[in-house]
Amino acid sequence: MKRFLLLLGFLPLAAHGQLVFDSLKKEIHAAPDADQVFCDFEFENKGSTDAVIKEAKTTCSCISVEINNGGKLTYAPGEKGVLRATFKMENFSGQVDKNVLVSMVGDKEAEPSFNLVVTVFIPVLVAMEPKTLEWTLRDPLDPKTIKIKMNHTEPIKITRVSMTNSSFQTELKTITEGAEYDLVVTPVSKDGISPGLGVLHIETDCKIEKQKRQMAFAVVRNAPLSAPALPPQPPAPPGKAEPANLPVPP
Amino acid sequence: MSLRLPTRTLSQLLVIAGLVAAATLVTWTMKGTPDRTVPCGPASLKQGEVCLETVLKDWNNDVVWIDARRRVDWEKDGMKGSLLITTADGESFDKLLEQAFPRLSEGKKVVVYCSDVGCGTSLEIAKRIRDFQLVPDVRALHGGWKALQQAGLVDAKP
Repeated sequence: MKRFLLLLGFLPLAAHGQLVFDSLKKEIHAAPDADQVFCDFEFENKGSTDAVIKEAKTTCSCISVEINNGGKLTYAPGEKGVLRATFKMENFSGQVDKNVLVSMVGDKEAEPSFNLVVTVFIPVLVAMEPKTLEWTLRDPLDPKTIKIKMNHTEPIKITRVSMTNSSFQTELKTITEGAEYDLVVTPVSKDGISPGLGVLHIETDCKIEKQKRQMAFAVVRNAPLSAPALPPQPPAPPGKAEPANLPVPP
Repeated sequence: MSLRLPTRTLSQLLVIAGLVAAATLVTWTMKGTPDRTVPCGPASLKQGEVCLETVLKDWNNDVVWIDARRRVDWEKDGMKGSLLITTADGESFDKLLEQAFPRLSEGKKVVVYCSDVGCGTSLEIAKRIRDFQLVPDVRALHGGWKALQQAGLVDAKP
């Protein structure tokens, strides 16, 4: 009886061999102009029965998966294979984590055996800090600065700065041409009316298309987020606040 | 080679099966139908995630919902009032973020969902929104759209 219960307990493990990956997490450092990068996960069946891969699913259309030997899914004990994840860079920058979910035959639908993580580091060539400037009407609407630094071997110049809301004035100061800039933003409140919201578009001559254009926000709030709000303000006159069109909710 | 189980083993098998069936019946009678909600707790939460229960009870659902799935899925069965911010199918994150900016600047907490527990896109979108320092708290919903569906907050449509 004891032996029988023991057998029942181990049955699920034996059903899909014992696939072992060389690592469940890998890091890739991409070149700024790369269109795609590869990440190989090597694996081996260290069990005593066949290991059968049911599927390898990705969490983003930006990543695709191939298994070597023409997509071979069944691996005998001791047999090795490679799963290659191909990440398309699209318009990503900075650190991006992507997952590949590998299910073995016998896994429940929502519980794949392996969650492989690919972390891709894409150089940020145009770094801005901060990306949002905030004011409140309780404080003076003093100028605030976005620091822009270029992290590239070649100079990157700012060619154009535009603001969606004319109630914000912008001034670009060159610290070092092609390397460092200060973007000074000043909200202008007329008759006590909040300038509202603005979106800054910064265009550069960066040769890498996906990093050519940058965006930042300017917000004037009635009160700090943590404090109770002031009484409602009169609506802004036409042409002052220009909120972007919202997508239609489902 | 044929495998013949002794009568004793067979009777033991039948006893075990009978006990399992009885236990199942008792559990079903006492507890009702199984709870199909996505389990969520400190042990299962990844960094940057939040449980649906926290959003509904502690935050009174006073949040901005972001759908990080494909546009077609958002249009089909997205959370009512949600905004679309995704990178799926080549969508421009910056463009969608700019469109969502007026709502995000309200200062409410933001909760991003993708399809299910393992989808991962919500964590990435939450991180990218967080990088803009525009909102005080941005989290990815543990369990994603599936958790919303199991809580009856969205309906699956064909």
